[in-house]
Amino acid sequence: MIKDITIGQFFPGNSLIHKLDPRAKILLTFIFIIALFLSRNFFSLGLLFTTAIAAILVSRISFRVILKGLRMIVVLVVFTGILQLLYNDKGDILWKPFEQYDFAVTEGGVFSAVFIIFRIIALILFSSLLTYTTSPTMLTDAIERLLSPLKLFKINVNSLAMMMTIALRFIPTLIEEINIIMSAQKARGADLETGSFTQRVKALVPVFIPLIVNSFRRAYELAFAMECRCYTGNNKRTRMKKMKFSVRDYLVFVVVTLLVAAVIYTSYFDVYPLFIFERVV
Amino acid sequence: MNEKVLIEFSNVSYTYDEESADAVYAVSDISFNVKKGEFIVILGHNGSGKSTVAKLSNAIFTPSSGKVFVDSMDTSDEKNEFLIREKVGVVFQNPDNQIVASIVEEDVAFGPENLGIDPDIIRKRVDEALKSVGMYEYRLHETHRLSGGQKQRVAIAGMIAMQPQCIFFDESTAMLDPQGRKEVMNTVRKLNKEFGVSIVFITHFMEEAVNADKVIVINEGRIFAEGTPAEIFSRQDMLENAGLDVPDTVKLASLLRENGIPLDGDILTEENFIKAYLKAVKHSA
Amino acid sequence: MVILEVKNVSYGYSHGTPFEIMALDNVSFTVEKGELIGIIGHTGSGKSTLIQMLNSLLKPESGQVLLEGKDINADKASIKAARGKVGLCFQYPEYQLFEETCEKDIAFGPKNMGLSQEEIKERVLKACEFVGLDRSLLGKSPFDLSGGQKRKCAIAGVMAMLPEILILDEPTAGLDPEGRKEIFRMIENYRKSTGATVMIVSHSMDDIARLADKILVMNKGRLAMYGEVSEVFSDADKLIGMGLNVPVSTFIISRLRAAGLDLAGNIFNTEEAANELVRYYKEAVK
Repeated sequence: MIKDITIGQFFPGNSLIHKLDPRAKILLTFIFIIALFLSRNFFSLGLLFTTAIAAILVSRISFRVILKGLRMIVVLVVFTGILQLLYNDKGDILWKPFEQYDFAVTEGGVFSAVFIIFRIIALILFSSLLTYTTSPTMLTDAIERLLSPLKLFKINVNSLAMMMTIALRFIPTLIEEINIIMSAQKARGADLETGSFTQRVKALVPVFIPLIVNSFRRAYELAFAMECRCYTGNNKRTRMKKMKFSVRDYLVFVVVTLLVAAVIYTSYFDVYPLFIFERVV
Repeated sequence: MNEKVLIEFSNVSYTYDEESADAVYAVSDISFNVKKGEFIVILGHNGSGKSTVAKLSNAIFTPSSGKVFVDSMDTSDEKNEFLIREKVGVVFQNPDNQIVASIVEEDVAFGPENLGIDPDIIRKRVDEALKSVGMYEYRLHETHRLSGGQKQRVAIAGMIAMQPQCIFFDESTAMLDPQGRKEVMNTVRKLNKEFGVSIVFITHFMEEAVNADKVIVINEGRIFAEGTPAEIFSRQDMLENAGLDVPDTVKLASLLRENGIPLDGDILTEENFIKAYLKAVKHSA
Repeated sequence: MVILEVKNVSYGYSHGTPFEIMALDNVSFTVEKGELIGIIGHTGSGKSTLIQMLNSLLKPESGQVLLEGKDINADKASIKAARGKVGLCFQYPEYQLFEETCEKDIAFGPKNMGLSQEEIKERVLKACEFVGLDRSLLGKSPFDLSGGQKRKCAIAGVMAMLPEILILDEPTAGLDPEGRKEIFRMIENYRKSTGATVMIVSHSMDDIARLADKILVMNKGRLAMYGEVSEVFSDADKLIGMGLNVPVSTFIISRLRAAGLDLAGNIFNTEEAANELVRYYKEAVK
């Protein structure tokens, strides 16, 4: 059910991770993602993975929630893992199921499959930690501020951020609405689950038309409500939440820089014997 | 009560298509005042034009003819727009379609942020506003997980944070369950009593009119009747003509009086009724 | 004759997230053919989940829903049959209109049931009669109708399927007194001419008291009370304890009884209350 999605949700809290400046969190997430792609052995990947787990512990987001979020990407992870098994032929052959075919599972295949799986999981962990611990509005505020240099090119960053805030705010509302409309049409005998592809697309017309019509009505009403609260689209708005890098944020940056340095050093300069096969991705 | 007039509707008419010669008027020739600290309830059936009144009050709509003045400022004058909307807030019907942000306190801050107020002052105002509607503990909650009544209270806090002198409620209880309606009504009464905010409450739930200083009945875009709740509710035929109904308590009281039972005073609430009946029984014995 | 039986049904939402709730907890009851049942309970009590169980929109995690003795979730065919026999009208049904014309929208259900063209046409007209929708509006876009007409059109869309059990989730939400009366007239019309069983979810105890044969009270996912109107409302304190209201007259009478007046207990509408209070007063005067 769509209701069960936890990716992109926010779980309010008071942890160190929650308290970090959202701009810092966005930048750190990017740094970690880059580091994940730079990492080429199990030592550095392990380092990053452990960091992710440690960060989750600090954030006090329950592991059940995290696992729930990961469930969404199981297919992707398994699929990539299998691809690695199939295409990497380095190292000793471990298993050759079909004599007549060339295909064999090699040591390199197993290593790279495991490696890739952990890399993807770490990537999801870092990025979901960002959304789990940062309110959508703070996130858009931070993006707005990070993008503010674009104002030089006459791009209206404020309106863009407002649009993002509203989009994020209405996603749950619209998901709920889709569920209701789908149920209502099913109650009238609509068959949304079987039939050919074209039949199924056609069957969605009774869902999407009301959804669109209702969204316009919502937009219309929301516009009035926003006008009543003195929004004009080109106000010089202030923000309740000031964003200021604190000692905390700088310290985290220092730690992360050391970590990334370690990743780069072990991956490119020091030859760690743990991952003897060439990079596969 | 301070007799100062805050909002003045003077012969206001409004039509959604001004171009057309035989335009249908949503409201026609409406005149009334809202005084400081006053609690007015506007009653009318769906489509009676009552909702247009709210949008005319703060320059979202401007009259097709006639004038609306807020604190002596003409709403038709564009340069007053901001000042007027700071003074007069509107809370609408659908709780989902007036909340802008995903987190409670961020939504409440939206208005003051638009006014360009200093962040520290916004913080203070938001906290105070949330406390005044009893939603302070929820300040970090996600707005879409709140109940209907809680969402409306957040919307009210969003208005309070702009420190208005008057709030219009445009059928703000119509989509709520009884619990939510109670929450909103209690909040509204508290704002009126404790903070002296003028209230104009537009509704078709008759029970919500019993505490008003003044009730205005609107039918087919015109003011149909005006008076205290007791006066209005005593005119059952008039209300039925306006597509409305009398609260059951009032009905019960009038049935008893028709049967010669002397019930004292204005009977608008269940409490009134119970007291009056007990008194009547005691006296007779 | 029992038409519907709900047997030990349980259902939960969002398992494994912090928002997990047990929406239905071992709910069992039976419904007789032709009854009008009022379903009450405050928001989040499990009412909405319950009614979606009755036509297999949601499937019980444990327990069974039996329609005319057969499990509606037995196979695909039985699910389809249940959707035709149990008509479910959601809250604010006008927000689910989608067709170019009212006629096509009302015909959507019958068409999905695989009826013939003629029969569909006939049912559309019949449904218009039930709800009192002017035939001249059939060719119009449902989006051009007034709010009240839209709701009529949407309810007609469910009635056109001629369900044996018609379930309406707060059909009067957002309507003024006149609109509310109109909805109840429609439901009465439908019941009279089809003999169908009707279940109405409502927050208005006065409406329920006036219309229903039986009342089903949901509280925290459990079936809290189920019985004749007089039976359920006679336990006013229990209802109030669950955060629910009772009809105004019931409330006043029960308060007066608590104050020591010897009044009859089972009173649920204004006229009855007035008679009883007049009787008591006259006796007191003597």
